[in-house]
Formats: sequence, C-alpha cells, structure tokens
Amino acid sequence: MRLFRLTFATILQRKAWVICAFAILVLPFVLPWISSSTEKPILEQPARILAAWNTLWITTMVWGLFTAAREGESNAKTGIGEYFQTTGLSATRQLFEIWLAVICFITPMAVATALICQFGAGPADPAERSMWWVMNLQYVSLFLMVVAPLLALATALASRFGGITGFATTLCITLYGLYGVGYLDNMVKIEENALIKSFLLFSPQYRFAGDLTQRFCLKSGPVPMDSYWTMLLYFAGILAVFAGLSRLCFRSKTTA
Amino acid sequence: MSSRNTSIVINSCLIGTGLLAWAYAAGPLTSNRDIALAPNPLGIKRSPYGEVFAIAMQGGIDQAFHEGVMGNNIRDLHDLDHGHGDCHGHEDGGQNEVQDAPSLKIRFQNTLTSLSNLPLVRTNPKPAAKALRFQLRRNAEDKLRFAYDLDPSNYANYASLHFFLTEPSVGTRPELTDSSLKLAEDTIAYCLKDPNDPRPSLTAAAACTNVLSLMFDDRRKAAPKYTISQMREYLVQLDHCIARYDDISSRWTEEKSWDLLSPQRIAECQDRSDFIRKIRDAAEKTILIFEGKITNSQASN
Repeated sequence: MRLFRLTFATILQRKAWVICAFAILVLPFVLPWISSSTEKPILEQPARILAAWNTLWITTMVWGLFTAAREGESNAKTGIGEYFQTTGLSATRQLFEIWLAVICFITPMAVATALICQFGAGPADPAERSMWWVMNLQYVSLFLMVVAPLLALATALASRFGGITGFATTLCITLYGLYGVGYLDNMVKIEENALIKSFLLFSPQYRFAGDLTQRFCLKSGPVPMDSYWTMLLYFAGILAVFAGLSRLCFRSKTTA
Repeated sequence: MSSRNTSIVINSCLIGTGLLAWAYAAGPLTSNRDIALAPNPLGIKRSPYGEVFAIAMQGGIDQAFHEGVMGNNIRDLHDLDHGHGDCHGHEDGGQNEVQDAPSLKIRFQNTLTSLSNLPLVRTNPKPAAKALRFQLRRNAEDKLRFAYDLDPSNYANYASLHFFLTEPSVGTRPELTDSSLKLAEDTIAYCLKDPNDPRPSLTAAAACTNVLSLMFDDRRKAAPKYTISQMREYLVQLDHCIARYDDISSRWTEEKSWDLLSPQRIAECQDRSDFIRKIRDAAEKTILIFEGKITNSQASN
C-alpha cells in the first residue's frame, strides 16, 4: 500500500481539499441566506438540503475528478508508476491504490453532507426523521456507486491521454448523466426514435441518484426498496464496465 | 503471456457482465415514471433559490418580452452611440447637455454598455426576415418560460409569460389559446398548494382574471366557445383565491411574518391585491351584463 500512502499524502499536502471541506461544511448554512427562506423561515431546510447536496456534487465533479486525473497523469509521467512496476506492483494494483486515495477524501465529504442533511435539515416529526435516515443512507450509497467508477476512469484516461482529457471526459459524462439524459428522455417522449432510445438505454443515467436531492426537498420519502436495488444493480453494471475500461486504459508509464 | 491473457479475460468478464447488468436494469428504471423526475439541473426550479433568481431575472424578462413582441432586438445606431447608461442630459436640451457633460467614469461605463450591445445592432438596411423574427420570438418565449419555471408563483413572471403567449402574433388576435389556458391552470394549481405564503394566492387570482378577460373577448365573437357558467366557475375560483390571500395574510400579520419583507415588496403586494379586487368587481358586472341581469348603463353607475 505504499503508492496509496504516497498519493494520499500528496493530496493531503496540496491542501486543496481544505477548500472543499470548508465549502461542504459552511455553504449549507450560508447559501440559504440568499434564498427566499429569509422571507419564509419554513423554507430554510429545503434550501439547506439543496445547498448541501449540490455542493457535494459540484465539489466531486470539479475537485474530485480533477484530482483523480492529476494523480493518474503524474503517476505515469514522473516515473513513479514505472518505479512501482519494478517493485512488482502491477498496473491494476496501482490504479486501485490511486483510486483508493482519492475516494478516501470523497467518502468523508459525502458522509458529512448526509450528516448535515440529517441533523441540520431533518424534519421535526419522528416518523419522518427515521425516513430521513433511510433516504440519507440510500443517497450516500448511490452517490458513491456513481462517483467511484468515474474517479477510476479519470485516473486511467489521464494516465494514457493526459490530465485534461481524463478530467474533461469524465466531467462531461457526469454532467450528461445527471442532466443531459433527462432532456434526451423528454425528446423521446415527444417523438419515438429507436436510435435515440437505444442510445438512452446505454447512457449512464446518474439522474436516478441526483434526483434524490429533490426527493428530500419535496419530502417524498425514500426510493421504493425494489427500485433502489435495481438502481444499485444498474450502477454496479456501470461500475463493472468502467472498471474494465479503466484497466484497459491505465498505464503506469509513458511510452514516449 | 499468461498474465496478459488473465487480464484480457478479467476485462472481458467485467465489461460483459457490466453491460448485461446495465442493460437489464436500465429498462425497468427508464420506464418507471415514478422515480424519474422532470429535468431540473441542481433542482433549482421551484426551489427557494429559484424564487430569488426569478425575481433577479425580471430585468432580463423585460428585455426578452420587448424583443419577442416587437419582433426584433434591433437597436439603432443612436442607441449604440449613447449606450443605455446614465445619459440624462437628453431631456434638458442641447445646452444643458454640454454643461452636464458626463464624468469620465460614466462615459467609460457608457462605452462598455454600447460595446456589449454591439452584437444586437443591425446595420443591414433590409428589415429582418420573417423567419428571423420568428426565431427571436421563440428565444424570448424560452427565456420567459425559464423565468416562469424558476418560480411559477411569481406574479410578474407569470404575467409576462401570459401576455407574451396571448400577444397578437402573426395574424392572430388575442384569444384564450390552449397554451395560455393550460398555463393559467398550472399556475393556479401550483399556487394554491402553498399554504404558507399569501403572495402565490394573488398570482393564482391574476391567472383567474386573465382567463376571465379572455373569455369575455371570446364572448363578443359571433360563435363564442365559452359559456357563462364556465365564466362563473372561474369567478368562484377567483373569490376562493382572494379569500385565501386574506386568510394567509391575516395569519402573517399575527405571526409578524410581513416584517421579514422589505417595504417595497409589501407595497407591491398591496397594489396587486387592490388591482385584483377591482378587476374582480368589473368581471362580475360583465358576467351580469352577459346574463342580461343588468345593462351597460347600470354597470357603469
């Protein structure tokens, strides 16, 4: 686990994570001031939930994917990967250790967001409060299932094609999965098109996870358990595909 | 070589089973309309933030409305020269203009404004083509619709979109089209869901008055589409909205919730409430005239 410790320490030393942690802990309490909850105090909790989860998504999309890409690139470019290769650490193992270091920063952020949502914006009614626990657990698990393979893909793409490609590609995939597919789905609803429909079927529909923010705000209760398991299976499928692609793509040294 | 083969096998297994699981689970998830919500990036539409952005967008809405209704967004060169900044020397005549020569800072601001308006200036002497005007109208409608979606209970944004939709466009007269009726009904349904704020009730009331006034226009036609009983239904709905406004607003007075609003917003709310009540009385008289219970001269008394 020496590469993991090295990557973890590098990210820790760069301190950009402090900005993210600060945003995640502070923005949910500050942003509601610019919402209409200043006029209607009853809206403070929905405003806080929106701020908390959106900050987490944006932080992960911007800092998380960028860090993953940067670590993947520097591992290949600086010769660290080559060095670890000679000590017997295989490419896949290297990819795993770099990924583990990044996810070790993202997971606490997701947990902190869920805790803010639970204790800073939980409903007063005890029955609804227990519902909140289920929703938070569902959201954190789905969020991590969405983000984990994307981080690995960012690292792998960056190691082969450079940091900008790794970051930009995964960022576009995430944005498309969260928001783009919804609009595409609307298009298909208006006019049936077999080609777009099959494209939609094999698009990573991260919106199923992202929509949980709105479920919180509308207090519509947890996702039905059978749908939740289908979602987990769905995201596990995407995880397996991205893991395979990342393994194929990752390299520990530049050939040039 | 064997490790390479193992790697290929592992990758194939991962991608193969992953694709299977992906495809297997995608079907039920995409077809399950309960879990897929309408696209709403960052959940901003209809959120507490959306309500604020809806107010912030009103300057832009004004511009979009005029661009769409006038059929162009074309500024003439005079506008470009002076910009839209602080140029109050105009009204005072030429002499004052010299005396009130704007300061360097204001002149710089005006230059920046005119430069930012540059893409909108049309130097082509031929007027805009029909297709271009249609396109501009569509753009304006999209902007107005977006502002409305941010907060459907916002009085000004609803009113702009409604008047835009019913504005006489190519060859059509103002009439109660399906789209404006649907807009009004959606607005009423959305606004009446809010039990904590009196202002959405006013927006719902405005939607009722809009529907009524278009029904009255329709009545004057040779073959009216809407009956008097339909008008009565909307009048009842309108009364319900006003009663609801009074109810929630008196609760706000008790809870001192009005104190959280700025005086301008309270005054604006009061103006709208007075306006809606006047329209309501006029609408009732119009319906009575249509029913033949009073005549025009009685109504004007």
